[in-house]
Amino acid sequence: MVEEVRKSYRTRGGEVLALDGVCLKAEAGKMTAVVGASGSGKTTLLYVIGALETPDSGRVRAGEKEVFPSGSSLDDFRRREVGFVFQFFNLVGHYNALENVMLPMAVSGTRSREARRRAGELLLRAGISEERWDHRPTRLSGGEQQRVAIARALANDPWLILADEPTGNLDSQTGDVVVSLLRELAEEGRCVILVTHDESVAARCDEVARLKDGRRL
Amino acid sequence: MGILQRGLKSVYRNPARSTIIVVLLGVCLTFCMAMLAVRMAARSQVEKVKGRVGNYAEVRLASQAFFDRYLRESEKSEAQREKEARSMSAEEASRQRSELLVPEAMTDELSMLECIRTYDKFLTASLEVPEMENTAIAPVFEKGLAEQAARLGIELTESTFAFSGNTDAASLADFREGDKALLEGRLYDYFDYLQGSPVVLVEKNLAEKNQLSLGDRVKVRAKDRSGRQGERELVVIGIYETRQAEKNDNPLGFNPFGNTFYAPLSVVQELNNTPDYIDSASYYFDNVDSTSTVLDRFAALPGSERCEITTDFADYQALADPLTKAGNASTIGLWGSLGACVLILLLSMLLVVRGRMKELGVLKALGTADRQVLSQFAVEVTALCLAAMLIASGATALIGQRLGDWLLRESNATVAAPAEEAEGQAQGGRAALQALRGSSQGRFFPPDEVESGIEVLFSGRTFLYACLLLLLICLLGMVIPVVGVARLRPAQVLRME
Repeated sequence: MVEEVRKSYRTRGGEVLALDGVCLKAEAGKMTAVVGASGSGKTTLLYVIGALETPDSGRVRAGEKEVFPSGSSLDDFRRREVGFVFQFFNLVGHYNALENVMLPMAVSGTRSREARRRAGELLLRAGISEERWDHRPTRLSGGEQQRVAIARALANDPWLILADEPTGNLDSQTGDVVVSLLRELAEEGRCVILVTHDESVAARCDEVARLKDGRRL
Repeated sequence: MGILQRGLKSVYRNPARSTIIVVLLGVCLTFCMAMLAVRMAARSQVEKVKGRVGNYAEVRLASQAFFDRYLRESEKSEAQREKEARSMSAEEASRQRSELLVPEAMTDELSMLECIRTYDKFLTASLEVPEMENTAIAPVFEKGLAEQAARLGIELTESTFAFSGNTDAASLADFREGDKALLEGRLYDYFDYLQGSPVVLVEKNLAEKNQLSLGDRVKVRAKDRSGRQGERELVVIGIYETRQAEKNDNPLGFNPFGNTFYAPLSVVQELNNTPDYIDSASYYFDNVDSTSTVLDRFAALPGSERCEITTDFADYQALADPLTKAGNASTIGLWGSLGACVLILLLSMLLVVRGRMKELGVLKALGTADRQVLSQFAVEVTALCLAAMLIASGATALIGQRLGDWLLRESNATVAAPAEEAEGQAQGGRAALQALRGSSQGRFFPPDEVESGIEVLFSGRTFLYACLLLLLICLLGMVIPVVGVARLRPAQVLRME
């Protein structure tokens, strides 16, 4: 899936090599953890897989889609085939929980009524009760926000779920719930890749890839 | 939740900020639209003025030629003048008379210009009607003015009357403006002029005193081309009433109460024995823009150095200058307020985009295409501008007219001083001319007779311009979001915590 990917950044201090010939293969139906210390390049790897970042070289393939090198826009790929879960949830502040889950569907052109129905289903599945749907993110707890974020990631029924430190901002109990939810998604046949520095979370994954200074160990 | 809904939701997300933006934009747009409306009104008013004022010209003998003749004759003694008169041939006498007149061929030539709309010629002659007495002429003799008139070759007796001729009586300013009104009969017309019909219009009081009625004949003493004294009969075809006494400041004026006979120009020319000469010619041309064409053509005509042309361009300037200045001021105001609108919108959108970088990164991570993000901003900008435009439309309707009046008042004040000076000169010059040669036969429009205010109206055209203005500032307001979104790297934004 990811072959010999290199990615460097220019900073004031000079060029920083974030990924140095990294290879990774993640399979559908499995949960793969990318583990490493801060600055090891794990988030960059996740963004490269999700087409949010363009590598300098190498090859990235997601299912049938050639993510890099690619001559076409990857908006559609991100919209329909990938679901992102972020450490800080990144919910849109002035939308309520339901609207946040509806957002990716609105972007992909799903009719409003259908989007509303599906968003409700996803929120219920993520454990958000109906009375919390019209709450804005600021009125939700961290765990609730992350569950809403997971529901949003599933909105367009993607086969690839990319989670960046999904438990990093949660207490251990809530983190367990979130990991269980991701586990469920993997068991449904989706390919779940999560980035973590928490060994206990990594221990619950099917595959573990370790990174250090941009290299796969 | 479509783009429209998302865009509108963005407007509501920070009501205080949106309100401030709308109010600021509204104020600037109000000025923008008001200035636009004033500018359009001023331009339209200038066009209106152009069609009515500044398109009149009169050709007369130059003042200098008149004075030269007067001074030359004044230097001669009475005996010398009498001697000259006795020895003068008919041809010489005719030439001497025509020295104070304008060659008709020259004014005809000027009338050939394409821009000339109407053309009239005038000649006033002092002629003797032996069977009638001019009671109004007595003061002229009392003041000893008859001698001065004689120096100009005008022989006055108690039976001397003024005979005024033109091509069509209906076009005479006195009849057109109601200073004189036809009571009985008809006015002579262009065909009478062409055919040289021996017809005349007589003043009511004069007709009553001399028991003249329609169809009666008036005997006029005149010399023929060979200088032989004879009499010519004119048929009275109309009797008129003087409603407004003529304003005649002429010290040589002998006919202040309107005891004037009106006859076709060709008849007066024949009676005066000056067949190809006139006192003056008047022209109406298409509009003030043709003034220089008329003046240039006149200057190029042979014999024009003895004559002068007067136009009502100063009247046009007195009316149009404040309007033009108000229009120019409103143009500056328009661009200034438009610039302020754009600046407000750009700064607002800069703040908005900066405050939403994270959200934009998330949207792009979710697969939102750039055009979708921009459409959302477009809806937001348009909604803000539309709300501001609605406020501005109402406010403009309230203040537009006042702003126009104020600008015009200010412009009037600016041009007042030089205008007064110019007006003084024009008035002085014109008064001097009229004193020498009688009042204008045509029409100089007094500025206060023409509507000189600005009428700020909100027409379909204003609305169309307002819509274009809205579109323009919306597009300019989109510049920041376009640049912001185009430069956005979602991965970088998402890392910012």
